[in-house]
Amino acid sequence: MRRFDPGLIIATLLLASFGLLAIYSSGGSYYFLRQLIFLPIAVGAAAAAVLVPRRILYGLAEPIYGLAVLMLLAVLIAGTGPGSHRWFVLGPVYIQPSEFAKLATVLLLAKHLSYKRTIGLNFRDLAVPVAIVAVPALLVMVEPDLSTSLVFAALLAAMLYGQGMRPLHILLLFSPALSFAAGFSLYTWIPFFVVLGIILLIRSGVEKTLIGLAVSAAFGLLSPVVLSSLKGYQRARIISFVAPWFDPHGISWNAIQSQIAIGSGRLIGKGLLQGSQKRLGFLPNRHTDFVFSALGEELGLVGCLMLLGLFYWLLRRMLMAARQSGDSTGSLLCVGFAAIVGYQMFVNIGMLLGILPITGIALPFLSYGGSSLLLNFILVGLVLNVVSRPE
Amino acid sequence: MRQPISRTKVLIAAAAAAWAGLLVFLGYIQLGRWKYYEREATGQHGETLELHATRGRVYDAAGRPLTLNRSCCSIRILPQWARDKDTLAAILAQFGLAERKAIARELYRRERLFWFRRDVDYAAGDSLRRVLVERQFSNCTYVEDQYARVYPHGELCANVVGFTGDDRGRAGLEFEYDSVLSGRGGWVQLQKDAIGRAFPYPSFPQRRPVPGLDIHLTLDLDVQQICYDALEQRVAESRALGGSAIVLDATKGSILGLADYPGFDPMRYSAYPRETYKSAALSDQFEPGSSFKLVTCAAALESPDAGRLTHESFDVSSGFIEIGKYKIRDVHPNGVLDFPGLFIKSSNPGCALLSMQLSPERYYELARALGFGNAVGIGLPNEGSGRIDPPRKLNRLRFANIAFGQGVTVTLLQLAAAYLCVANDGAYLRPYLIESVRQPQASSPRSQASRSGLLACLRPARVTLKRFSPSRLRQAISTETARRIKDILERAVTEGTGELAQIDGVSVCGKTGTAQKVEPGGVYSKSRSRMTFIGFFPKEKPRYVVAVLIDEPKTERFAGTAACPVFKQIGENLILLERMRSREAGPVAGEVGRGTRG
Repeated sequence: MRRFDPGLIIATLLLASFGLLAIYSSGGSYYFLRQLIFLPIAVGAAAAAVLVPRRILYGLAEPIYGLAVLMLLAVLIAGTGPGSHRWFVLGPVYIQPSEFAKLATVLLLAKHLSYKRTIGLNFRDLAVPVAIVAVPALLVMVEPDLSTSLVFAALLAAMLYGQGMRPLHILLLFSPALSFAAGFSLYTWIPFFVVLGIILLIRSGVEKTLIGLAVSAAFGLLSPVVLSSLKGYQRARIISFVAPWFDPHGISWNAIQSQIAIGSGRLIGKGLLQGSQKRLGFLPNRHTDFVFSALGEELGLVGCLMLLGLFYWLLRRMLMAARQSGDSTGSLLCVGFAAIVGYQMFVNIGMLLGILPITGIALPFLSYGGSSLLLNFILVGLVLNVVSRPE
Repeated sequence: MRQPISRTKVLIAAAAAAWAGLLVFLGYIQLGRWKYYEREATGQHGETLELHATRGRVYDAAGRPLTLNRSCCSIRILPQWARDKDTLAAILAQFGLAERKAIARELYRRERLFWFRRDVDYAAGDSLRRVLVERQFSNCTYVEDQYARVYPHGELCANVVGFTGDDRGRAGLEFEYDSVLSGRGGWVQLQKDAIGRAFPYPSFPQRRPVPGLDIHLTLDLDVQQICYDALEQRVAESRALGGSAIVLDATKGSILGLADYPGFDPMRYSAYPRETYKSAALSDQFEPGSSFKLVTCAAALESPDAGRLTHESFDVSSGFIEIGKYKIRDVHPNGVLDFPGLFIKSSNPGCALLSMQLSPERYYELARALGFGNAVGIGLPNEGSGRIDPPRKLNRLRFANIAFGQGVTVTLLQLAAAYLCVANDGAYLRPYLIESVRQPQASSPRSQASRSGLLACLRPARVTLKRFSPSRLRQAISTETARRIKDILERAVTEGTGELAQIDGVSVCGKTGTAQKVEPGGVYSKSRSRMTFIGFFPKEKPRYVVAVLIDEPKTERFAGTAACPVFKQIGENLILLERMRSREAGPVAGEVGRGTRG
């Protein structure tokens, strides 16, 4: 064992404790106890993840990925969830395959990318990585769980960047998708298009700019066409699928509620168990996706700062682990994991603060959910594995 | 592995930047705009629901309540939240609050929160509340417990106690001591969840109401009744505008009776003119007339020339004297008067003659020492201070006027206080109305019980928060002077203008006063005047000071006939009351009977 990172472990455990506190305060003892039971399981899984030789892990990357995809397929058929197919119900336990799909995807992607010295914007370099990510991402998207599928995009971008792809190329790679998403409204699409054009003009030739813009424009124009060709209820369904935060009254109830809860917490909060917004049910999903709002209301800015500090510490340790890693696969693993945790944290807190639209995404380590807790602990375990044992 | 190393730095920097962005926004929300969000938060729970503090009560000297609180309900409705306005209207109509159609019309017309009914019978309101919850209208209706103020003695004490409107004191003690009586209201944040259900929650932020304090008066309901009845009768007989009477405990200065007729019904105060809300006995400032000659008499007796003055005789046989071009007249020519005769016969020219031998400065000081020119300060609003001009503003004529009670204004209470001073051998006692301020009786046992045992032993419950006692402010005149004034005042009753004030078996001291009102043109009226009689008894050891004022009697021309019978009636009844109380077994009920003969 070469190095060990106690900071990572402490940060993880503190975050999990914060999570337990928040779940107890907002969800009550039922959810608290369930999460408490999951915690030793997650710690055990993390320990196993630390101990498993990475060579074996890398060798199992393809079977694990295959299993994850199979589970995602199976959950589409046999899964349950509120208006969707997200979970397996196994007795008292709900299993969320998309959480494991993230891990499997990072694993296989890291293994694949690490073989490549350079990655250009061409089919040969990108076909396999994109496919590795696209299959689970699309399967998650049709559950439907758009926000989780976007995690895959985030980890792809981060890992491509981590393996040396030019940022401009990454931007170009994602620009059709971004254009399609922005194309639902002219107010988002035109700025996007202008910014993209300027960046392309500065960083590459006129020819490439025109090609890039043309492709983006095509995708951008596609989305209103798709939208308008649909019947009313279908359109509404699409809108609520792409933009679940949109509501016909023009008021984003959840986001407002979350901001009210956080804002009324002030500097030191209303005290544990004292949050009125949370208790009176104004906060939706208060022990899962909105757990940060409950904490913000009850512990105030001081509590939020502690929490954000822990997250920052964790992310920094994970990315430092990528630097310290002896092998590129391990390094990419750390980058991918950091991307998952970082993306989910920023999107979750960002949406609760009203910066980003409300999407259903959990706050790592804090939100209630066994699968999520297990996955996040395994992530940390693997990062520790990478740090402590150079291959 | 060159590249990933440098790139992780970029990733860390990106994470740090995004993290800092979150931080800034968090700080903005939680420190910069918390007020907005907090308002939003409380706004969502609905408004805060007021918890009304029980208003403190007012008691008479014997502990009889002059005010009561009746539980009632008030109903507020927020029509825009009603799920079915017609059903709601039907429910409300069942409780007889109005006709169903009328209610429905009101509900459709209005949107926002409004007072639907106030002062609804408590039992009805309470069961209505339950029905509204059962039928799921609790999100848009608020049935609140409230208190309605009840004045069991109506107009008898209205001038003193006053009344409340909209839970605030509007007149009398209720107004002046509103902050003491009202206590501190509490609130709970309206207990509503996201779907509009209301439910109690123990840890919800709230402030418990603190009940108001009780005020115990020195006023004696029986004495008050005696005064009021006597006034009522006399005002009717003499077809006067009204009248006032004050009864003071002559040994302590406490106010036993303070009656004004006509009164008003405090429960229906809006039906009466605003002017009737005050107590005329304290607030009406008038020229006292002859009853003010007490000051002149005292000034003469206190003057360095007292020996000479008291043996002088004053020739007023012409019926008038002239000062400059003005004539000061007597009603009947009185011949030649000795010093006591001036006051017994109440001769205005005589007093004017006497004034010429008095020092205006000393006179002024004495009048101030006897309490004129200053409000007595018994704790009721609108108390008059009267006006007496300092000597530098006076000429001979004006000073002579003052000597028989013109050109100076007083209140009846000030006159009573001055006579009280004489009755007390010259010691000026400040009359007072409030005996004590106490914690409400109902709440004190509870607060005691809630204390831990040890604390309760260490610190006895403070039931009485403030007690007022007789305050002997100063020796205004010498004991000797007071005795001699008493003799004169006694003769004023037995031989002089106050003959009708005599009470069998008791020696009464007192003085009449007939003060003409000033007509709009600035001249004294021939027909309209205020009749006063202020006296005390028994002369040897005074127990009561009684001041009576009859305003503009039509049938009488002089105080001797207008006010004296009232004094007599009040005095006789006071003695009767005393006898009745001392005959009663057990504890003495009120202040009147205490320490008096059987």
